[in-house]
Amino acid sequence: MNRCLEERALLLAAIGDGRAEERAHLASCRSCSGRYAQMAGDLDVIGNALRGAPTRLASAPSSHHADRWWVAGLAMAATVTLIVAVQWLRRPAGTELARVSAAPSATARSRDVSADAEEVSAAMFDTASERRPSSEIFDVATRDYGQRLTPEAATLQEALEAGPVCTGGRFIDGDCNDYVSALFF
Amino acid sequence: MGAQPFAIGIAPGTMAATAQVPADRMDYEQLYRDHRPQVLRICRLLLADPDEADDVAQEVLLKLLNEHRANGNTIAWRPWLNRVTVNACRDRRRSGWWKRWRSQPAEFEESEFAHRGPTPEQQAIGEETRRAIWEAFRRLPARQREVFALRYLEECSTEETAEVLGLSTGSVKTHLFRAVHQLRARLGLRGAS
Repeated sequence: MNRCLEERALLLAAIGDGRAEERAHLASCRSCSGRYAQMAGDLDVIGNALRGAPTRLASAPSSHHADRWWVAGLAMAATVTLIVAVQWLRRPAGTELARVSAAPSATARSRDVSADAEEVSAAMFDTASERRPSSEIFDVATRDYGQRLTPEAATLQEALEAGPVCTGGRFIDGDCNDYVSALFF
Repeated sequence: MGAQPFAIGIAPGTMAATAQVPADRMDYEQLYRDHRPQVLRICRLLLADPDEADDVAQEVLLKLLNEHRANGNTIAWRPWLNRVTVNACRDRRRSGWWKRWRSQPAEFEESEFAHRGPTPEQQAIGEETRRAIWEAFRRLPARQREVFALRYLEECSTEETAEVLGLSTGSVKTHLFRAVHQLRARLGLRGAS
């Protein structure tokens, strides 16, 4: 056997599991016998240390402890978040925050704005009829826009005067109970 | 006066006690004396906390007593004890996570081992080196620690180690090689490549 032994073969030889040809190579190769002696010496040092009394751990307890509480805090926050998310997802369908029923939808508002824009545009670029001063056009637009907002404003006013709406919410059930707060407090 | 259990106040193994105990107790006492250091050593190698190691060692020795009562001396005790000790340490590692979480990192008190005294070889190793070796050993994966402890430190054969740990002999050699390689590398020993 001419090839020098690998570390694994040296280890097996050191613990008595080496093969005969490996032992023969060790006896004849100075390089391998030197590495073998090094391996055996390292194992002796390690073995003597581990067969003796365990030593004190070098790690700093305080920092470890602080790390642990950080992790515990994060875990607690994650748990709370998870509980809230589950409760939110499992909320009854009718407990959405009461929307102001009279408020126009986004589509309706968009249609109103488009109509206003067309009217203003027609007034501004109407070359057939007599040109009206721009201030008059603005007054018409403002007045018309204001009229269209009037029902919304009135509804909002009514809602504000009626006080807090308690027909449901993300964390409020139909009886105005805040079940999330009740869960934790 | 018939055979009686150990008299209160008389330490096991003293002349007064041995004169009164039955033969099976004598056997157990001998077993206890012979194998307790080995069980305790393996527990201390496989568990980080010395108190836990002592607890587990007591559990194992209690199992030894029960097994001895049930089967007498029909068992090869050394491999049996190795297997039971390794399994008990594994169970403790699995079940004790919350206890370890709450407790401070274990610190070994040298006074606990004062009766033993270091050997000349151990005295030759500096305190820093010993600490580094223990830390490097504790960082090994559990399986590698088990293999290294049984195969090299307890000088079990490869076959016996394989049987105790439920591994093939090839796996034992591989785990042992990886353990030694990692230990040498972490300790910065010259031979580690």
